[in-house]
Amino acid sequence: MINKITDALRASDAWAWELTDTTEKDWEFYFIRHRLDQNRAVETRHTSVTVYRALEEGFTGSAQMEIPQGSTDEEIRSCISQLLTEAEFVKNPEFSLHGPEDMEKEDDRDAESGGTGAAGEGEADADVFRIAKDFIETMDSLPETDTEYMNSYEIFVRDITRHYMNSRGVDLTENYPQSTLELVVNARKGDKEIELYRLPSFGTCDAAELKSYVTDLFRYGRDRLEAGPTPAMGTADLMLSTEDSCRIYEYFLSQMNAANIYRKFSDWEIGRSIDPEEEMREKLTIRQVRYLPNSPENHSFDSQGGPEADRVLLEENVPRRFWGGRQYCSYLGIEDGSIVYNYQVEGGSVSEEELRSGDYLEVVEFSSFDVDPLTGDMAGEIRLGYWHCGDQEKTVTGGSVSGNVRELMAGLSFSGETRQFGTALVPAVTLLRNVTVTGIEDN
Amino acid sequence: MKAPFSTYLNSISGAMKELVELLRPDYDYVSVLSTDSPGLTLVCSRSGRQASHSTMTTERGNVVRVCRDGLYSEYAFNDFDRDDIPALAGRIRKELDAQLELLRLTGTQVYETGVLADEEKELFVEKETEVLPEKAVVREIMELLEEITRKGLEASEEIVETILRAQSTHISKMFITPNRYLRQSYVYSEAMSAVVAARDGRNRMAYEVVSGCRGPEMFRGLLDKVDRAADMAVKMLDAEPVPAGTYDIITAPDVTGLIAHEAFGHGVEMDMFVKHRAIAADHMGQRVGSDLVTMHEGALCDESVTAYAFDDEGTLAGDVTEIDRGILKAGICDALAAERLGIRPTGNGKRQNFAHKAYTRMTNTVFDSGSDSLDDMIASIEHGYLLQGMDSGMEDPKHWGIQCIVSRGYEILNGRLTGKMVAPVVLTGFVPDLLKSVSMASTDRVIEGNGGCGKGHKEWVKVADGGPYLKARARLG
Repeated sequence: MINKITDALRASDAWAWELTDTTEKDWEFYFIRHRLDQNRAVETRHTSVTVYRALEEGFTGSAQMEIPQGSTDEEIRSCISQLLTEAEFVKNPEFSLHGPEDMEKEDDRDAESGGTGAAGEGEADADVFRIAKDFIETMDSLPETDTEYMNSYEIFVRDITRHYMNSRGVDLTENYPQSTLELVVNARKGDKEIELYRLPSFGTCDAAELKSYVTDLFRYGRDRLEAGPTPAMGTADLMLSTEDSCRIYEYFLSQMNAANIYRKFSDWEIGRSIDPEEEMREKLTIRQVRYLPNSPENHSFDSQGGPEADRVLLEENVPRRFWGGRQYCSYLGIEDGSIVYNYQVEGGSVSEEELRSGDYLEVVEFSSFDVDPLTGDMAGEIRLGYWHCGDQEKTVTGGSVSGNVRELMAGLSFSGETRQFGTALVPAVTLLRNVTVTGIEDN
Repeated sequence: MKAPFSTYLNSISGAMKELVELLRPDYDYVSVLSTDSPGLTLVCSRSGRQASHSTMTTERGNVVRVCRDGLYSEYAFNDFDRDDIPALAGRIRKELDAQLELLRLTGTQVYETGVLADEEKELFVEKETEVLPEKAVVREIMELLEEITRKGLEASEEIVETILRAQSTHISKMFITPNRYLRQSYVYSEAMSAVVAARDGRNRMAYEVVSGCRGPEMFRGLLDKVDRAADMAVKMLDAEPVPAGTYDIITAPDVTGLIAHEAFGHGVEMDMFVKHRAIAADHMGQRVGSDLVTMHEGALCDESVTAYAFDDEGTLAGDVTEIDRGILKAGICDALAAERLGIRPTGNGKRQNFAHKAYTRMTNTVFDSGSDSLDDMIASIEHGYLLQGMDSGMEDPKHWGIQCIVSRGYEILNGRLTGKMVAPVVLTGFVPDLLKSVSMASTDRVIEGNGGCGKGHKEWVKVADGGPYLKARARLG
């Protein structure tokens, strides 16, 4: 059907066009404890087309649609004709699509020393049978006990092939594996039972990594059973050592997104420090990285054919490069920008041990820890925290943390040690000072 | 006009019936859900425009559910030759058998489940709409969105952006078993005007919405609402965080809906009962709220974005009274969970789309109205906040915790609104404590269904929720 669509696009009045054809084979297994609740197989193909038409000088219009599988020549032509009509009323400043020459550009030279892998490195074979088998066997061999165990889990293994073409002659295909687990852990003591929830994503199954990850959850579960009410401490230094820390760094990434710059949601400028008064305790360096070991999002090109590469985005608190989709990158004059799938935050100047030397509240389980990428507001209900005060450690639950990342970033510290969570390689421990903590027990 | 049922689905109904018959000898249960739901999304803002025929629920595809020896399996697909259904049946058997071989190799035990009932039923429903999204005139809608956007941007110099997102989807679904042949067609739409104000690098956003079981004609409703969003966004620039503490609160209908959704929406999804993940299973018949708390859930409760006639497992839509004057009465249930629990399904088996598993999911989750006026509610509070603007929430069915992030609160002192605003506001607490503290409820009621609801952090579906203004006591931070 792809040939039929491209023939129709070439024969149309489209000024430019893009086509994305995604084929997925998914195997899914759902477990209650370790018994199979349901198995599912999914085989889908989705073909999406965007057409552009020339409007008045300097402007273009566009419209997008998924072409149903099995469409006839006439149905395809009708879809394209409809899109061209609609595009007339979707007016935007003109921009050009990526061309074949864009894929030949090299990685950012500044990123070479810190980058985590080279283009083309590390792609794994996407064999859903083998990957699913590895996950099932690993989940069956976890160090469970009578009091810490899996309540239920879901295994999703995907073999994805993505094909992107456009009217400038870009024709790219990649195949990659992607896996997601939903994990629900229970811990029990007498009649009291608690649960913890996680939804990690990987490329394929790394049994050792997964066992280590779930073993931490069993420990958290045990501790939550003993947790007391969070004191009304007013403010505290908040330590994050789980994937929740990624939400903090993603706020910084969002400030460098080309669309947010163009829309004036972010006032960051290339070459101007985000900390002009030099109040921040640490200098932050963030890189876009094409490849991270076992990431679920190792791509060689983005959704519009933009080349993925290792690039320095923020260097010691100074924005060096913005990132994003083709349209807004083009408006900002960024010719080789692309969407960030994987990123790396460089470790800080202090060790985890040093960061753990003061008083702090380490929260390892929230209901949901959210940071608003637009405002920087952050909040989360505490399901399990460790309140370190002097020589004491107290496990706590209930209440919430809140604050604003922009206003708290002067007090941001992070460890030199790093840890990977799916698409992010971030400091193992992140500390934010003077975060508001609403407790449920008066001091 | 009636929203016409998909001609495409009608054209493959014979092939899908043939598929059911071909698979039937090999399995104890066979069903097919086929979907064809075109849609339209238009976005208009200061910085750009977009037109797409994708929405959260646009789809065209099929999912086959089979059961053999107590194990339910599914195969989802959207690319097939309708003239060679035996080949498709062979493909399905082969793929599912390959999975069974893997399960044999790993020694996996099965959670055995009985065979679903297949009661005879034929249904054909086409709901009313004025405009179909696939036939909507993009020029007219985009001109309207441009007008609303301009109005928002011109409201203040501190407004940096106004984003109008308008979506409409024409749902057609067909469910086939040996004894059931159900077809439905309806249109739902939703739109949001989000206004962003900025000062000294600080951003604040406020929004207004419209939604319902109607066509794109409803987008015009935002024209009168965008001014309010703009006014709120600018005022929020001066808002301070709420001093942490426990307060008397009044929840506006959108926040009331968020509480309904997170508290006893997710809390009584009975597939969680099967996994022993919901504390509500142990509290049926017990008091969980004050006498003023009555809560309904079901696709029949309101003509909202999720007002379907049957769910994604072929169960007819329902209306469940979950809480009756403070007493927890019932939960909601998909077909497989119902079979396991020995009860009847309630019409709440929903999928993100044909390629996803069906879970127990919410439809309309609403508090009943009361007899108080908002003015009396405000006058009754010495020091507290009127909470408005639903940002996000998180359920905790196992422990009955609740987290609601609300965009702003209006201070009430000595029975009057002071004009001071706090933002944002994090409401947390123990669900029964919160609901037992409900002491007043207004006579009016608003239900909206914008955005999506996840189960955990995935499986996004359309839901609607709401209720009246409620007075309660809650911990804010």
